[in-house]
Amino acid sequence: MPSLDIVDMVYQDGVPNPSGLATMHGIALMSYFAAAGIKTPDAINDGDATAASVGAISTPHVFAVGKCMKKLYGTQNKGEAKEEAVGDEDSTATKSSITIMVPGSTAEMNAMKKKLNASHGLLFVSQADGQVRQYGSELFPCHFRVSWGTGTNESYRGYTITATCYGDSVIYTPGLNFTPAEAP
Amino acid sequence: MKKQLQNDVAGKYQVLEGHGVGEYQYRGETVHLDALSLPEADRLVSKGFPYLVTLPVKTKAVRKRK
Repeated sequence: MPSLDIVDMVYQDGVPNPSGLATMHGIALMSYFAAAGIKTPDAINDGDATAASVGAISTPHVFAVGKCMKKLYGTQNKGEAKEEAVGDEDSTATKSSITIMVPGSTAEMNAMKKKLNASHGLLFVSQADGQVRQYGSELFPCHFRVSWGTGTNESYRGYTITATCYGDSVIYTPGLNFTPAEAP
Repeated sequence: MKKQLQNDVAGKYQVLEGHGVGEYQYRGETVHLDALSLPEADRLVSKGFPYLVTLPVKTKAVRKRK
């Protein structure tokens, strides 16, 4: 079976590489997407796969009519996204976890806490350079855990949203879509 | 009221099928399609913005002289 070849992996001198997250992200429940509307990257053993087609999605997902991503603000320098390799030799996969902290204490966010704690979806995380990564997939959607705390008088009051999923994150080049879908 | 592309933008582009005229965020830039000028639309499309699709160029039918 053919598989993607490896390439040189070198330092890109002169290319900015800021760390951390931006402050605006997108979140969508699985029910928000049209039938067959979630695009997927190529697998590494697809015959015509390229590094770009495996590591990124360049075609926008199609949402159900009236649906789109919802905005998710996260306090800067509080959030983080990371992936780790899990599993045994010859059976290694990826597990991702993302933390986003939303300030405040509101009835609306209390309700979102209840809703997200019982939901699965995709998370579109904006990084410091504006690049968006998608976490979760149709096969392995993100599971959310939302907690809240007052913090101390010198810390942080707000909601902590933690999303976890198996599978690799993928760069989502179309960016964030906050416009409800229309009938074709 | 349904948002629409500005006239000069609508003369050159249409919104990708199934998507609407509204707010997007592309490469860290917030984009409001209804407020977009034609030069801004051209710039975004040249960078790969996928939600605007170039309309086919209309050509005038030429009648052959007998």
